[in-house]
Amino acid sequence: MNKGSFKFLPYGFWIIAFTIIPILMITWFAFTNESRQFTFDNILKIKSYAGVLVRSLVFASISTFICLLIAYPFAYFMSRISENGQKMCIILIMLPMWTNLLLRTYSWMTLLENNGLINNLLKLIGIGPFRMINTPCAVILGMVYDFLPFMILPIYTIMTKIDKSLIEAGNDLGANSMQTLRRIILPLSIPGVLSGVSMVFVPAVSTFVISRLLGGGSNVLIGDLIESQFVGSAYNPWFGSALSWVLMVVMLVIMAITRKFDKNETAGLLL
Amino acid sequence: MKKLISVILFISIIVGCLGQTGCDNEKYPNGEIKIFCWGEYIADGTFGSLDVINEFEKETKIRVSVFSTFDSNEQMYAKLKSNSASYDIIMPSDYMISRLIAEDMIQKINISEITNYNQVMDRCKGSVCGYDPTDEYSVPYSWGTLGLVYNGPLIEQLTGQSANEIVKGWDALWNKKLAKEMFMFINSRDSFGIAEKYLGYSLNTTNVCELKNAYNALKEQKPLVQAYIMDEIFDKMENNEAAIAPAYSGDIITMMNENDKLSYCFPEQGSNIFVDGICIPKNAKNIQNAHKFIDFLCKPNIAAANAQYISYSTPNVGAWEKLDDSLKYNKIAYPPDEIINKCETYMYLPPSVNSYIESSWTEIRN
Repeated sequence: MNKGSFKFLPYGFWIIAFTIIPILMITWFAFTNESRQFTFDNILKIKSYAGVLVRSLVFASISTFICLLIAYPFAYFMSRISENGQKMCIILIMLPMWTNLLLRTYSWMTLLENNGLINNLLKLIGIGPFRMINTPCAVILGMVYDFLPFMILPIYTIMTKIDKSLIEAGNDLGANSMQTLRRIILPLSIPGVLSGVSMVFVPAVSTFVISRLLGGGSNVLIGDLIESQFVGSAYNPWFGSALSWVLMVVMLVIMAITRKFDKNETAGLLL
Repeated sequence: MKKLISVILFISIIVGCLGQTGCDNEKYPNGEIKIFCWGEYIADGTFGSLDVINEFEKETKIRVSVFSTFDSNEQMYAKLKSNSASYDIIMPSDYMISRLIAEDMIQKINISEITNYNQVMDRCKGSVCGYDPTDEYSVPYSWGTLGLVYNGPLIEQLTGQSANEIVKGWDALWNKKLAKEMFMFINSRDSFGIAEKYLGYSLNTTNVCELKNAYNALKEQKPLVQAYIMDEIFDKMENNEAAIAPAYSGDIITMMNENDKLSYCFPEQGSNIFVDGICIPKNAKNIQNAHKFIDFLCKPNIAAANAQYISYSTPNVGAWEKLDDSLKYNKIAYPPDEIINKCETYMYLPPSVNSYIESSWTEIRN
């Protein structure tokens, strides 16, 4: 055994124990029933919940898109300011993440309620009250708020790594700042955008607590459905595994498409 | 230097462990017990209550080595079924007790060892309520009824009628004047139960036609519901977020203590009565100690401390006598017989009915 493979041992153990074996178990459960017989029933049953899956994908896409809209300019400006300013910004972004996700979502609930803080403030200046809690918008707001740092950080990291001389060269050759952004910074930051997109999209699509607290229980997402199969009244781990399995496959397909798109796109932009 | 520190740390850990076990064996010669119960369901010394677990350890010299909590029967069932941990005591509700009996997951309790069993009210026993026909598998721990909690001033403001006229029974939850001013439970069983009672059926109906009607009623109700929630009902009703919501009796008492605009209504169509029991799982390792723990919980002063803490009703006669007058004569916690007679317990439904309720409930909320 050479030294290289020896180094790999702990990671290999980790991946086998906590990634490969669980995925195999999910697959096993998804294609069997209570009496351990092979069956497609669980997978076929998902058809009747297609609406939930579609809603999860739509909600996650919308919130990923909003995150990107907010995060990209922010990361761009952040990478341009002084080093101390950058450190400050990073701390400010990380700070809310030190609080538990459940608590953060819970506080949005009290902010958005009919007698919540926002509506009370609006009442003081004579507008409202608005119905904000228990709507799809509230769920998307919650997702954007909770996952925004995962979009900002990778984009920011990639932007600080862009070779300054490329930008200077562009300027020397007469590119204005818009052209620099479009022809140099944008193409070079695509890898950061892509990892940001997957880091937001993946947790957003499978989240369950946000939809329950902010969506009022009537915007069921796939995460809620899976949870109810394992610890809820529906108790059906076989169907729950089938749901998780299909979700994994759907995400793999989406990721594969983005990767492919990424390669062509970056190549096209660079050429 | 580093080596020295790690050696010292290592030795102190070893010594610490030995010391701990040595000390434990001395302090707790009678072994251990593992408990799995509802969250905040045993008085723990906070808010001036008695620390029941501590008291038990002192009196019996049995160490409570595991104390885990769950927040739904189904969660407990899943944990038990997966065999990932063994417990000596669990606290399922009535319909879950019948399911555990049917699936051979709990064992018979030797009632003769429960010296305080004579304190248990007959009306809560499994044989009377039907969840444990022989009374051999469970000892009642607490009970309560499902009712309506409403915000009187808000209802009057919304409807222009007095709240007493509007809120008489479950039909208030279908009243269009209260649109977007009501909450419903997020779990399928309670919601279907409410719809079934509203339509005048049994909570445990397996009749396809009746189930279909309940489904339609819930579908019709959906546009009126502000949110489907569970424990959030407390905060939201206390904050005047909605005019009316279903809730369990103990919770209603807690909410009414926090917000004096809230009132209680027992639905005229009848309702659900639940009993949470204490059981011993089949794979329990400390059966003797489990019996001692059950007996301890049935002691009137301990049961009273717990009842005072959780504000659900106690099935223990001796404990009831020891309660504060405000709780003892509370009509919500201890309703008169004519109300109890209108109540039904949940039974374990056949899997086909269960999955119908579950899938149509997801569809309704979708």
